[in-house]
Amino acid sequence: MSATVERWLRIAGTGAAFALFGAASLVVGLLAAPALALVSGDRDRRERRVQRLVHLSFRAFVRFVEAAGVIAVSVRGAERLPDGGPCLVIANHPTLLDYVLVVAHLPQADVVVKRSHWSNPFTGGVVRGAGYVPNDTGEATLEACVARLRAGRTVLLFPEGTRSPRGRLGRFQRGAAHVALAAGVPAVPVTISCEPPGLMRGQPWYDVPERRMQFTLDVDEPIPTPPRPESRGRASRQLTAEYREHFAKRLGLPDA
Amino acid sequence: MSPDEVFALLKGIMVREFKLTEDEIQPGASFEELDLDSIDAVDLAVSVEEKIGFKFDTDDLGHLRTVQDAVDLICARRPKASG
Repeated sequence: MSATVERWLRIAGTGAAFALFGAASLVVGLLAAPALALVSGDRDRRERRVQRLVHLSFRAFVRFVEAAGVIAVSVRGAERLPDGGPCLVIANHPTLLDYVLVVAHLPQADVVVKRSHWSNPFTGGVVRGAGYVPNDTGEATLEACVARLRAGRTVLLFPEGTRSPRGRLGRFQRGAAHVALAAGVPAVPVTISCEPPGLMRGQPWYDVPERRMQFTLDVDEPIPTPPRPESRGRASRQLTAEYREHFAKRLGLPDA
Repeated sequence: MSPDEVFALLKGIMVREFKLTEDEIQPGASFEELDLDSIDAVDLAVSVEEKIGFKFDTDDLGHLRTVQDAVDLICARRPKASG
């Protein structure tokens, strides 16, 4: 098969994947999540069930996109990811697919996401049903994450707050470190890389790379959180620098 | 408290809490330039309250842009006698 034909097939596969994702989001958000809400009783149970459904849907979706030849995914250290219990997971954010790839490996995850997802017709039902946390409310965002962790739930946060600039790490916001410090939990780092790079910020969906995108997720040992710091301003700066250093090192980037 | 004293107080808190140097903290410096986020703003407000009993409104915090804005607000709202 010629390289051109192969690339067109991947463009078609990518388009099909986007269409499937949109359709599945509507089904989950508008039908399945409300249905689960009806039978689930309390809020904690309801949100966990919707999150589980999202996890299973993403697992199926990732298999589809792999089968369509658009991407290949390998995960190293998956056993370090929690399958329950209070756990903070942090990841870098090079591509559009990162959230999907990580949640495909997390049966339960409260995810901190952009506010605009609440008003998006495709994602609104899902973020509401799953009880996700909007990232724009400062102290309230922090408190919501800490409350989830105290309730024994897993929280997934992208410290950059948005997709990384091409081939680099963005500025790390201090929210993740604040959450870790306030809840007294370590952070499990997931380093995501994609070669050749694709689905980056500002890149149209049909601009697929020359070769199939190979995603690698490296899950490392938890980064410890210092106990009860005197000044959370200082401690959060220190810890944020440690997080960034970890990802920079993992990605082989010169730090800073 | 004079505006200079209020500025010195804020500077002291910011050096201690946020690892900033004294030189960085000029009256015209914006909180954004100083890399202070919304959580830092809350911490700064708590420290000011502990030191001089001045309580910021949550709404006020969002409107402050520079260190001088905070000094002005504190001086304007604070009863002169209690300084």
